[in-house]
Amino acid sequence: MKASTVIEFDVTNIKTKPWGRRQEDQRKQKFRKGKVQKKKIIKNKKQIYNTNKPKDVTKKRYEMPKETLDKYSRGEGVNISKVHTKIHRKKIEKKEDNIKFAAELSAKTEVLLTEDSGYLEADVGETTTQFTQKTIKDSVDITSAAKQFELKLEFGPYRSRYTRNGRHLVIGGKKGHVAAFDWITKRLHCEINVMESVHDVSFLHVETMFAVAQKDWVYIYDNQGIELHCVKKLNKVSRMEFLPYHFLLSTCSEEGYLSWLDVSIGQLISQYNTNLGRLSVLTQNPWNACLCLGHAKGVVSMWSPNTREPLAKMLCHKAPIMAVDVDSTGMYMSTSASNRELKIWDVRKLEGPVQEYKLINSATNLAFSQSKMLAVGFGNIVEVYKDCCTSAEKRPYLRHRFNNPISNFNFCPFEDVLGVSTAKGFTSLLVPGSGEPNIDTLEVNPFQSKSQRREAEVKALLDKVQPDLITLDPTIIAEVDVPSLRDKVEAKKKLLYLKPPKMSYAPRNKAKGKGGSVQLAKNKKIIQEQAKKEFIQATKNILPEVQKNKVKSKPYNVLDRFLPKNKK
Amino acid sequence: MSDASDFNYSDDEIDDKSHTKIVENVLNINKTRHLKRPVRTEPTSHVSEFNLVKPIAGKLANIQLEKLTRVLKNKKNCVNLKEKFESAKKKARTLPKPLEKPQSEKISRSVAYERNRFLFDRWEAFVTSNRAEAHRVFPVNNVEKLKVQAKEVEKLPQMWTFKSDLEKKLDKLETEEYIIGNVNEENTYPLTLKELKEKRKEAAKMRAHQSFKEAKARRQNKIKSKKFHRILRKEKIKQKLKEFEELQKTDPEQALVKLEEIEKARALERFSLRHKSTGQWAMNKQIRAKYDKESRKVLSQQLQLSRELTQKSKQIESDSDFEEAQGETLSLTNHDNPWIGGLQPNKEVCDFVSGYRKFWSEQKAKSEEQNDLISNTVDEDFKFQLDVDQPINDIVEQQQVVSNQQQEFPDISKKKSKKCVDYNIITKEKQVNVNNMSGDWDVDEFFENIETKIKKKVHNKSKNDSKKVVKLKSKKNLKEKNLKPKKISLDMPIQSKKHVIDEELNETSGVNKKENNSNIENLKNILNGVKDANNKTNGKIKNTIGDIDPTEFMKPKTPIELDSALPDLVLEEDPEQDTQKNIIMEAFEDDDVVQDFTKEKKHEIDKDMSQTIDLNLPGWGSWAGTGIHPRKQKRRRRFIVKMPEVLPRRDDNKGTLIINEKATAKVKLHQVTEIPFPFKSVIDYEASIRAPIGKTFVPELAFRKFTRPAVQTRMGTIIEPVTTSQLMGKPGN
Repeated sequence: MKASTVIEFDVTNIKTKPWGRRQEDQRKQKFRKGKVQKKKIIKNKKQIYNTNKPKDVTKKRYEMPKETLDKYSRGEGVNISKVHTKIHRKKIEKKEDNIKFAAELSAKTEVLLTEDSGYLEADVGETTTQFTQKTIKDSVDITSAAKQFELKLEFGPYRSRYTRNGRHLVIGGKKGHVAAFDWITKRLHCEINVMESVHDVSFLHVETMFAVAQKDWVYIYDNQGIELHCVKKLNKVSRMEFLPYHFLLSTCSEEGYLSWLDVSIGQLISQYNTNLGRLSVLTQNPWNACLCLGHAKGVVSMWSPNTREPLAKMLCHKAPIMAVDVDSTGMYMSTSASNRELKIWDVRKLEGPVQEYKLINSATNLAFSQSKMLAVGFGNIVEVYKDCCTSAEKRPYLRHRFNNPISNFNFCPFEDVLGVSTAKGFTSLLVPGSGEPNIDTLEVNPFQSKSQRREAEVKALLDKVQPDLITLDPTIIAEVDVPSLRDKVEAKKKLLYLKPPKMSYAPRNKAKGKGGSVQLAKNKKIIQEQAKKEFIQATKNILPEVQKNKVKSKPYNVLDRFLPKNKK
Repeated sequence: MSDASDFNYSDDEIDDKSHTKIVENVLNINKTRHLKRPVRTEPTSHVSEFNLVKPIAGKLANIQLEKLTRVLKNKKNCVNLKEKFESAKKKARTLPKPLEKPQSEKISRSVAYERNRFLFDRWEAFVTSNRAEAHRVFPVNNVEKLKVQAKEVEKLPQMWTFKSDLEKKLDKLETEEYIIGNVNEENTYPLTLKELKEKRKEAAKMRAHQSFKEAKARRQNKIKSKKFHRILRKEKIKQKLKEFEELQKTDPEQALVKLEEIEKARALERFSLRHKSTGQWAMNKQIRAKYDKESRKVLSQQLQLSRELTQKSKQIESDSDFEEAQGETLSLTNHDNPWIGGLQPNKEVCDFVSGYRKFWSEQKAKSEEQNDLISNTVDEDFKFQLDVDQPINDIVEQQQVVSNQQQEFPDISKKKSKKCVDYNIITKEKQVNVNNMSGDWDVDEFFENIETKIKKKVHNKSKNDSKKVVKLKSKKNLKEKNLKPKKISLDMPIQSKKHVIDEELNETSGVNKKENNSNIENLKNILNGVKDANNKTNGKIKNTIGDIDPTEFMKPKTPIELDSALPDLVLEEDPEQDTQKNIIMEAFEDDDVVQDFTKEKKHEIDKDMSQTIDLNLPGWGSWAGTGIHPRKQKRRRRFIVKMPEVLPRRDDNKGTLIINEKATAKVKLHQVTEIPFPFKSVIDYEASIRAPIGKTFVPELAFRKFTRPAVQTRMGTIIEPVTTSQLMGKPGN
């Protein structure tokens, strides 16, 4: 028989242990299931342990302190009673549980933030202000002491900028001297003279590239000093800011132009004239990636590449604004004006001032550190204030006097260092407690290797945020676009002036002897008329009703006198 | 006769054939064709169904069973058969006509549907639970899981370990233990099934009982009859009285407490102003008021009094508000005034504030020392009043109010304090439970009924004690200490005074004089009561003042002079020139910049305002021609489209801020415009996407939980369809 040649597999008795790809698969499965098994094991252990104890003892789960839980909580959840169908309700319930779990877990992982930022503490009768850099340097460990250094340079007032991970530094002298180096190891990447005036320098998303705003145009160099690009569209740039999540190099020019250059695709996203004259005070709000400009009329304006009008304008001072800075969490904005005022604003609510200070001299530079310390620079002095946002400070935390006027300074991220560039060089100051002590290396890694940098670059590119999303409130993307009344009105206005669309009327192929061309034309007219009427009716219905519900007054009837009178 | 002869036929004359013909013809008149019944002539096994045209059984049938059974009438051996037939006859029913095919099919379908529906319904719970599951793994093999567990059981003894010392120590610390899963799974079922069922039964009974009662109560509440309610109330009161009497016999102390409770309830009721004009006195006056001027006057006075009592507190509060407002305006003027700013009151103010804070805390702690402290602070206040900023001004003024009030009623407060001591003693001894009081009692009637009886009883009981007191009174020495026991038995705290006046009518011989005295006192008390009430309202204000926390006030927004150093390298200009320039700038600083800004803002707002649209066309609907002057355009209202008013801007009340509200146009393209299905409201949908799930935002474990695939299958395994063995419920029919 032919049937006997067919080989029969015994399906019921398959090998229990898979191999190869299936083995891998099962391993994964086991890994997932592993949690369950692990739990069971622990449970069993517990039960065993439990036998030794009296059963009545109620065991308490370790409760996280409420403050830490609140810190990570995501707010109120979905009102489950207002969700369609039981199944979806259950699903959403589970999701809510997950969210809660995530919040708790991240509160628990706070245990891992072991590092604590220290700060100077003065004895009785002493103030922290009296500690000079030398005394600080003498009393700290050698690695920290190495972070305090001074570069004496001769090419005019310098500007400096750190990378986002705080490892590298680029400086640019007015007289054309540009240098990039790893400031911790003091390893020089490149040093060139661009033979033009340099107005500002800025790193791009990685330390291998930096932009230099020169006399006419912006140039981009790599870390060997090789000129990669010359961006002629950005001309006469006075200040630059790099928006790392959007890959935008934003610049303001002396002619009042703002421009955003997408570094990842090399395109100019937007460029327009602000019509506010010369722009020289620029900073970014790291929370929402808006640019903050300071103007001579005491106004701080916030800009995005999406509109040609500012997103918001705040009248901060009654005198020209000298400096603006926003802290890294986007909570506070500090502004200083030429009338010696220094104000701290709540930049999320656009309210304030939270604090108002009067200085002895008008501050020309401001910089927030990661721990919300504020460095204030005027003339040749830089002062650091510790809690000037939340409470009214009186005395500076630290003060340093230079021999030359300060041109700009930045706090180094993740280090207790303030890098000050002056007219004749660069100085790195130690400011204990200014940096964030706990580094999230997934975000930025100061100890990045080459491969890690590449990996991070790719990831950052994948996570790139579109420039369209730069608004005052970055969470707007998670909101439903409920058309506001204004939008509705606008739409209706447009409707008013809309012409009824013309009907294209193609007659059917008429049978022989059924109506001539006259009839056809008539039909066409009728149909077109009808369509027009319908359209007009439709628009009428949409238009706002003007007292439609007005009650028509009845004509007076003789017998109405017997009706009960209305009491009013 | 000829007519008759026509109808007379003899049988002979009738021809058979013609007769049948005639019959047929006659029948044909009906025009209904009668089919001839087929007649069986030969025995066949097959009976055609088409021949069963007329009923076989019944009256119309050819063969009638009854006729057939008539034969059996008198035959003894056929009795059984006959009985059978009789019984069958009784039961027999003609079967209904079989339904037509579509109908019968429909019915059979519906029956089949019902049966299958039951079969499928069994799956419903299973299906919903599966669908609701966020994560499922296929193939589902429960057997394997069991196996795993069995394996673990085998391993279990290996997991036994001796505890290290550290572990033992850790076990002692019980607070920080994590419990994973339910440890006491065995204890979760402490009852047997029977017990559980019994318990459930009982619970159900209880619930039913409760619902019956509720329904009854609801029904009764709906009854509008006053009489019914009156009867009900009286019944209740009677019952309460009974209870009370019993209590009196068994536990007089408890009874006293209860009495007091009743008293208190009554007082509260009285206090609630519900019975403002329902008293006997007021009623009488009202009747008389029609004719009597004086009674009208008295009534109006009474009304005014009540009004005063109820409105006094508000007045004072509003006063304080006014003062606050004044303070604000003052401070506003101060704020921008450079002259006052130069005085630098900082230190003094700080000192004062700290002093006040101290005072405030002390005031909270010891209310007795209040007066002295306030007077002290008030003295200080006057010194600083000019310099102090707004909030402090407020405080000062409020304090003054307090002190004034206290000066106004010094005597009262003294009296009150004395009385307070007394009452305190009384209340301490009695320990009135205010909270337990039930306001539902119809206290008034109840009270009126029982009060006289009880009081008498209590009096009689305490007569022994009171005799001594009476003696004392005859000497007219009112020593309060001796009176104490008497007071306990008679007087009720505070609000009962009014009631005591009523008692006048039920004079008892024994306690007469004392009663009179107490009545006079009570009268005084009542007279003072007005003031007392005033005092109380003041007290309230005092409290509110006491509750003001100085730390809650906004800090004054004067810029703080920072202790910064002067830079030595000012390269720009001469310092003198600079200062002069600064001074000039400061002098003229605000007007220009602020005005400009407000103008700009106004412009911005005007731009966004929606305006009405005028669709009138010139010349439309009006005559034209020589001699007709075109009149001014008649504005037809129906051509003017009004736009609804726009929402308030985000920067509406923020003076120095302009927010561009059109800036979000580009983001809107990326926003969700419609709420997706399971959600009903925007808020809920937004809440559902509020939390990030990415690796960079949440811990790894949470990330894995968030991003678990909905369905996981194992490669190379057969996923069997589910069988009914998965179902929990009873198998269907």
